[in-house]
Parts: sequence; C-alpha cells; structure tokens
Amino acid sequence: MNLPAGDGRGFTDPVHESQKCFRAIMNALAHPAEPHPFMPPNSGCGALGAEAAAILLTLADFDTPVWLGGAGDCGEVREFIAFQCGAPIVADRAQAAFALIPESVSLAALESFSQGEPEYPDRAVTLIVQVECFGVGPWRFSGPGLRQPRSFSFAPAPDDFMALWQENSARFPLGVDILFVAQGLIAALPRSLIVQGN
Amino acid sequence: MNAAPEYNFAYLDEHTKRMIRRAILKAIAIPGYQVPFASREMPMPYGWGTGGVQVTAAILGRYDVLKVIDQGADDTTNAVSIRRFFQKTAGVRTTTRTEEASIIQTRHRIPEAPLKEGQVLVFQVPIPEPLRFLEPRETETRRMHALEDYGVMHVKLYEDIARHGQIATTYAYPVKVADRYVMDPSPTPKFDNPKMNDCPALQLFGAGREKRIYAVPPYTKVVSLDFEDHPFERTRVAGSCELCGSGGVFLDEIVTGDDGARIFVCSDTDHCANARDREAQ
Repeated sequence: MNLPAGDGRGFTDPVHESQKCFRAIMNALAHPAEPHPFMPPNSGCGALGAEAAAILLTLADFDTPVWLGGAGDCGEVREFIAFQCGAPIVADRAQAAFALIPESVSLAALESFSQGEPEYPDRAVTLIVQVECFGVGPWRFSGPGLRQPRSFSFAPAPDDFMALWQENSARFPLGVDILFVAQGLIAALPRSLIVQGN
Repeated sequence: MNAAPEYNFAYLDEHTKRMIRRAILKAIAIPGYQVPFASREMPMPYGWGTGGVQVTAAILGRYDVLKVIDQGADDTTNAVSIRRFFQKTAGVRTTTRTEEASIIQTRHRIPEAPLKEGQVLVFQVPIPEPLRFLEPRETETRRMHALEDYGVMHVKLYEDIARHGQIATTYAYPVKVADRYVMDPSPTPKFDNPKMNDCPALQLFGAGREKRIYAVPPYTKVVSLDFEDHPFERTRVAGSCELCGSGGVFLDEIVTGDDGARIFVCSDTDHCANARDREAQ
C-alpha cells in the first residue's frame, strides 16, 4: 500500500519514526521527572511544537479525542491534527484522551480533565505540556521509576504547581499523567509520583 | 533488511501498535493495574504468548536486540518459534545472552543475570487477574481492585497455612506493587519474585486471550504477600547444577534414562552456558 506523501510535516517513515518516538516517550515515563533527549524528525506547526506534534503523531488517531488549549486552538493546528492523525478535536476537556497545553504557565484545574474511573483508572487524560526549559528544584519527586527522590522543575510554571500536583497524586489511582516537552527534550510526570518542597 | 516485505514491520499494523502503546503508557503510570486492550488474533494459538508477542511487537525497533526464553531456556519450542517470528517479520537481531538483549520476552522466568537499566522484560501472561480463582466475576474483581479490597487473597494464603502448615503457592505468587495494586506476576516461580522488587529494568506484562496489559516501572516496590508469622520464603534450592555447578539458581529436574535416573540443571540456559565457558577458560 502506498501512503499519501503528506505535506512533509508529519513522519516520512511512519513505522520506524513513530516507534522511535514511542520508545522515547515510554522511557521518559519509566524514568520520570527527568528530561530525556527527544529529537523528532517531523516539524511543528503554529503553536504546536515539533516535539508535541510528534507525540500526537505517535499516539493519537481516530480513537483518541484531542483537546486544544490556549493558542493551540487555531485553524492551523486543527488542520494538522485532522490531516496527520485523523483525531477528533473536542471542545469539552473532560472528553479528551490527549490535551495540548502550549504554554506551561497556563497549567491549571487538572481535575477538570478526565481522571479515569475507580474501576478503569486508565481512562484518564494524558496532558502534553510545552515548556521553555527544565531545571532542578524547587520540587522533589518520588515514586515508581525513581531509585531515589529527584529534583525536577520546568519553566515557566504556574505558582501553585506543587499544590496542583499534590491534589493530583492524592487522587491516585485516578488522575492525569503529564508529558512535558521542550526543544529536543521530553520529561514525564505519571500520577504515581508524589511531590515535596525542597 | 526486512526478510518478508509483505508484513508490516513486526507484523502488527500501525493502528494496533498505537492502541497497544497507549495501553502500555497507562500501565506504566498506574503500576500493577491491568489495562484492557483490544488484543488481536495472532498467527499462533492462545497460550503460546500472544499477549507478550503483541507487547514486544509494539515496542520493538530496528536496532533492538531480542532474547526470548521459555522457562529460562533459549532453545525450547516456544522460545525458538517466537524468536523466528520476529526474525521473519521484523528482521531484528536476536541473542541468547541476557546482557546483550534490549528486550527479553519470557514465559515465565526472570534471567539469573541481573537486569540493567534500559532493558525491557516482557512477560507472557495466561491469567492476569490474581483474584480470578477466588472471584470469577470480572465486574467484582474490578471493584475489589478499585476499593483495594484484598482480604480474600489473604484468606486464601491463610487457608494454605491451615491446610499445609505453610503457604503452598509456589508459582504465580501474588505481589503488591507500589503499595497499591495486587498483581499476578504471571506463573513465574516464586523464586523469581524478589527479582521484581526494585528492578532496574522495565517489566511489561501482556495477556492476549484475556486482553490485559500491565507494568512494573523500574525501581518499583514489589512485595510478595505474606504474614508476620509466616513470612514469604524464596523456594529453597537444594544442591547445585550438575552441568555448571552453579548454586543458588533455579534448577530444573531432567530425566536422563529409562531407569528413572535424573539430574538437576540450571533452568536458565544462558547462565549455565556462561558458567561452563568461564570454567573451561
């Protein structure tokens, strides 16, 4: 079968490029609260950076409603997702399997996204959050995937991020999982991690 | 590179891989919880590792090195056929050496050689639900997991003690993952249970017929259920391997003649071969 050539912004070799991106995402989630190299081959579009686009290209399809936040909700990004992933765009954030948050500072109200159900906690959203950079401190994370507690931070961050995350991990096994992306980097916070101040 | 271009890389189509990949990510985020997935028919019967094969196919890349073991052995039917399956459909490099492999698919042992960070261990699982033989209804076991209601499992272990004087469960010994979910470690001998705790490698579990995927992330607490006065005991291993002399490893009993003669040898063939190589040098 010949796939349509596309517009050059998606994967050119979808089988192997999506596998490579998936392994980077899986590795980030298995070794959380730590920036890992992430060099996707595709380009981004508008408010959607190449790294966030690569996550959607790798994981999103017609089974996964996508919610677009802030500047991400524009015609250009909608077209990109419709053409490259075929994923439905939803206005109700509680319906989304993936939610794009183009500016990390606007991260808020995590409980308004799908949290999963007590019997099916896997039916929770995965947030894709674009950040400018990663650093260490002011938070210390511990939990599965971490041999010892780990300092981790991202910028720009909302002032109340620690409280947001404490509420999120208090809901475990419900809750949201976050994939943070910066240029060339990916880091993950699964809901199983707990946070403390440094 | 691809020996059989009529198959997609690693057999599964891309939509199926995406669906399995999403299930794997949620499984890692909720350690020990069984994520339902739309398991596909595979070109092998249920019971031959269709769940493990689908997980491996979804994560496998061109540069991975694959090892497949069947009860520790690289050279038995199930291991050989699955290894050939991926050689044929993905053209990946395969190995029998634990330390060389990036992905190790297993039913149901954990190699004797310590696993490293970055390696992925994929278990083939027949019955993923640890509570299934105690409560046959899926709706009920789901609720029991949701409410963290695991009393019935302790009753079962207690009944073992009442009847046999000890916990008689020797394989598929239930564990609690990250202080939350009770998980079936697949029918791995309980000898291997302690290796799951704080393991540097990522452990993924796939059950094809039962359509479940679950995971233990690296460096995660995995505790075998027990009682204060009847603590978990690793199976005692009397003696050592007759071929390589290794002690403290899991041994298989091999019948060597019509007269009932038998010897005990390493279940992990790679470990045994390495030990004999070292001795020969």
